[in-house]
Amino acid sequence: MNILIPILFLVSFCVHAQNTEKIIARLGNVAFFSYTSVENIKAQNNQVLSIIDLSNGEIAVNILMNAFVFEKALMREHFNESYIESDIYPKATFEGTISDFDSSQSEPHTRIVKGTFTMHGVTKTLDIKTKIEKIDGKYILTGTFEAVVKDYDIKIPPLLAGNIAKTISVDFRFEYDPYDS
Amino acid sequence: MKKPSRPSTYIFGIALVLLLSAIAFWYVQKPLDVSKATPEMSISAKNLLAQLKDTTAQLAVLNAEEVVEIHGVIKEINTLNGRETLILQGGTDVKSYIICDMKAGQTETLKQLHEKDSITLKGIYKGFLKDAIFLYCVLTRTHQP
Repeated sequence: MNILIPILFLVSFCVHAQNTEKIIARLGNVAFFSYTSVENIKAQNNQVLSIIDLSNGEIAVNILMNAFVFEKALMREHFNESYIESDIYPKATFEGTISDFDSSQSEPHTRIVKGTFTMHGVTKTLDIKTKIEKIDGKYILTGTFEAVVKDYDIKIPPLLAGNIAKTISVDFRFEYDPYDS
Repeated sequence: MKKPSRPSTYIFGIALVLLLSAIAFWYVQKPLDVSKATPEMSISAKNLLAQLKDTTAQLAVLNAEEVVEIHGVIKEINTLNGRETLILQGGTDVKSYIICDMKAGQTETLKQLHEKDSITLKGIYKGFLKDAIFLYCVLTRTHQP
């Protein structure tokens, strides 16, 4: 009986340690911008999910495409129904690894996150320059990358081609909490 | 012999088409007013999450873009990234939550709320990742203990 107590303690510690290796952002922010001479379009999604495994720097991001908020309802309708087809492709995902990730580093630093981004059923490899900060014990990842519209098989009608930029700028900010499984 | 149409008839016709187009455009641009919408269902946060976590039942439970009324207990009130968000508890055995991005104009009402308050709100269901996600949420009731 006496030997069971330290074993149970050890098992409990190991399970806890395994969970604290991961961190989660449930309210990640992803915003995109399309600038043209005809029209500027902005949209943001504040419910993006991201999980990082601190033991190896693996990162996963999951985005609900119909949760982007636009300035105008008509823009949202075109985005979901004509371009992204969010009923067919409801999510965009990113799976990758933070290069040379060191969870013990507390100073702000920049790393390349390498991975695959899947949107509208098309998967592309991306290298994203990302700023990593640790503020009050919380990891915060911020960065920007550009997505070429035609790379993701998004068809813009010729009549609206002038309204939408060929390259969309995407900003992101994720603030992580300990993962509670 | 047919009498030629007068120019005023054409002008009236064009004006009518423009007016109808403007009304149609205004209607399409106008976002859904969640506070006035009749919810497709009224359900507790705990029951909704239990059903959404069952992937086989997910599609049957709820479709994206439906207005839902949810009763639940506040886990967290968040203003991250300049957005007001209420997170509702799912249940003791469920590590998923209801995430409600609040419709603008409720700042003063939200200031009156605290963690563990029981509330009822309405919002547009967007989908399920690890949590159920709702946008344009409006607070409909607070339940005093």
